[in-house]
Amino acid sequence: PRRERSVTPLHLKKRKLNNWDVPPSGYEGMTVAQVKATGHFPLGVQAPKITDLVANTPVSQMQ
Amino acid sequence: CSRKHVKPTYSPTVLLANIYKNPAHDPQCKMTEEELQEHFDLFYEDFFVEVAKYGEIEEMKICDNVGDHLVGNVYIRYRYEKDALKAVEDLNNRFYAGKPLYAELSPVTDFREACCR
Repeated sequence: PRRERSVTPLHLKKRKLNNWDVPPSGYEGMTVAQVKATGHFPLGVQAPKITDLVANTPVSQMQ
Repeated sequence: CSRKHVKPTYSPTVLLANIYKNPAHDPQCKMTEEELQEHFDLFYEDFFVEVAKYGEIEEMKICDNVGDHLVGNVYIRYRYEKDALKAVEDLNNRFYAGKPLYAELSPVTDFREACCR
């Protein structure tokens, strides 16, 4: 059977999270390259997983 | 596996390592199956919609493996290699959720065959 639900084009989708381009707190105004160069955000085991920090913080209520 | 894989110069697949943390991996986690699914779906959509701006995506996978080198890895296979290259260059200069992103090309093109021996 055909799905009757209409499809929202990606560019019209409303954002529910606000994670993109959010710099670490305390590092505002620094470029990504500068932040990486501090060595405080290594990739791997010791690094806190980024979704520990601000993921799942809805900017708008879900229906 | 020595994990010393050759990094490809050209590939349609982008790897962003250690991005998603499944709350279920936390022993203190009290979320229901439904809440866990919603947490994942929100992340998946948030990520997909943004990385789709670099080009048409054929598949996006998020690892649930608990190995340190795999946990929360996001793999995005674009239709075109040029879009993957563009994505890697740009994503390495972006933050997500208070962390700088580390992006690289991945040799994986078939996720079902992507088992390391």
